Amino acid sequence: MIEFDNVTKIYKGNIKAVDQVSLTVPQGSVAVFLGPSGCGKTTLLRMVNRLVPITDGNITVNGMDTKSLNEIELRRKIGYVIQSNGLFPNMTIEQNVTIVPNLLGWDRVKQRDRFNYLMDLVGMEPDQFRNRYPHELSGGQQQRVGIARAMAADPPVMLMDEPFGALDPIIRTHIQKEFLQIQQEVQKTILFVSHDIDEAIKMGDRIAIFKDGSLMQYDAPTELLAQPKNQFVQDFVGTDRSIKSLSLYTVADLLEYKKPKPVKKSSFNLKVDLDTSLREAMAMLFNETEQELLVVDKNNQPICEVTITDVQQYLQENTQTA
Amino acid sequence: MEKTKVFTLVFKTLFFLLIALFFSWGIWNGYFSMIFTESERFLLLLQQHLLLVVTSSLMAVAVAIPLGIFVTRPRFAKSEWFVLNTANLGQTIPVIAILAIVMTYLGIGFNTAVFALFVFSLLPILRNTVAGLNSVDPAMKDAAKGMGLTPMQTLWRIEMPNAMFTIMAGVRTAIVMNIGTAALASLVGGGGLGDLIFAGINLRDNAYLFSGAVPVTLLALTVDGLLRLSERIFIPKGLQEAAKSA
Ligand SMILES: Nc1ncnc2c1ncn2[C@@H]1O[C@H](COP(=O)(O)OP(=O)(O)O)[C@@H](O)[C@H]1O
Ligand SMILES: [Mg+2]
Repeated sequence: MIEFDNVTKIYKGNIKAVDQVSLTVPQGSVAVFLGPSGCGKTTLLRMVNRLVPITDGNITVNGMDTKSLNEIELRRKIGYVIQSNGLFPNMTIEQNVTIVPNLLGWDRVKQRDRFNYLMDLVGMEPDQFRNRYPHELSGGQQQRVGIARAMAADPPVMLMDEPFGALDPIIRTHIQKEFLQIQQEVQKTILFVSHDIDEAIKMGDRIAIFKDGSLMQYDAPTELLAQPKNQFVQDFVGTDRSIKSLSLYTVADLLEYKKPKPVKKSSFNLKVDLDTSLREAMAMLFNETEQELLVVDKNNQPICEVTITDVQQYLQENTQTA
Repeated sequence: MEKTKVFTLVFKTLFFLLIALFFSWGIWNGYFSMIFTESERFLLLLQQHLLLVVTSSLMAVAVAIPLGIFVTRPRFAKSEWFVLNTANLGQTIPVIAILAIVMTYLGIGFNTAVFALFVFSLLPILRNTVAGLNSVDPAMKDAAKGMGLTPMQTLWRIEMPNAMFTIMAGVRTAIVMNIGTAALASLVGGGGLGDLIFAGINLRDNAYLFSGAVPVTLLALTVDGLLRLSERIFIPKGLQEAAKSA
């Protein structure tokens, strides 16, 4: 768990980069810091591992005030991933990944096992990359190694500053998905900086939106899209926020809200289960000439039917204007 | 691409032909004869020359690299401007003048020559050490710091290996220059192959002149080659490969 308590940062020259921010990131969840360039996301992130000194307020990591800890030890317990991966070109991939375990004095066998485990985790063949150098890897591979390196000493907390920002869109989408799978397995407490609302919605359990160093709203993605607290947040999430929120709801959510219509037709071309996202359901309805989808349960038994109008009403009810 | 290759080849061939021609001409006229007739004296001078170069270069490396490290530490960033400019100023003073100044304090002989050569070798090493360390990607240093490397660990594991290319180039430049400049040691009684060269100039005797000047040149070329080879040891393999593929 990470707690920010009235954290303020004033840089030299009286530049207020972060202004009295308080928020709590629960254990094992991903919080995305979102906002336009220069709003203080990086500054706030770097205050956690004390790369930037705090001007005022407190940050606690798993109940410990970061100020009370030795900064070198603190940093070794916090994974750190940056946009330009920061891999060391003079070291092999294995040396890069195991640098912190090496500093911590782990024995060789333990380091090697850890390397093998992490490379498998990020989807790279350990033996194929062990003795290669960073410059021989593609951008996506380098970023994966960067993530493996940050997790090397199994830190409970990870800081990620626009980790996928430099990758091209196709690879980025791919690596985002992979990262979510990894997170399901490792359950770290993660702070993730992004300036991309779509990425934030995908990656975040919660999203914190900032403007000029102040926290505007801190909520789950569905809440943020459904109920933007003010004009700034509403503008930032975009006028298409209802469409964005489609991917966050499932057919089950829709049925919870709205009484299912009994099945009238005898044959359907389109079938979905309860876990299908509304985004996929809508896509199916748009692609076909059919007017309705058949919802089936786990045993493939029909439950009800859903139309475009149902989805539309659901979204209109859920997403209000500020 | 092909054109430049052909051009380089032609140029190299011509160059080597010229050198071969020069040597045959020298040998034909007996200009190198003294290397063989007075081989004992020649070897002594060669040894002196090497000692001058090695001593002064080692001193320069031992001072300039730590100094370069010192001025690039963020805490002492303000000293960089001062140190580099002082060194630059020092470099603008001709070697002969340095020799003369040092001579007034240390008298004549080996020590004076070594000291002057040492002063003259500082700048290339210092400048390249500073440039090399400053050119290390800040993101890399940030990553190192963020992962919990101490400033010393960052310096030795990250900054120095990544600056090694540039630092080694500075050391090489300094030593190769030093080999040529060491011929001037003769002027302050420091010995070395300069003795032959200046004897040749004073006596208008090409045999002396050639027996001194040509070995100095060959020595510089050989050492340059050896230092280039040694870079394969001092520079991390990953960086060598990165440089090759770039
Ligand atoms: N080292 C620094 N010194 C002075 N001002 C800084 C420094 N780093 C960032 N800032 C300023 O603080 C503000 C927030 O910067 P930053 O945290 O990098 O924003 P973001 O990551 O959201 O783009 C900006 O106005 C920036 O110019
Ligand atoms: Mg930033």
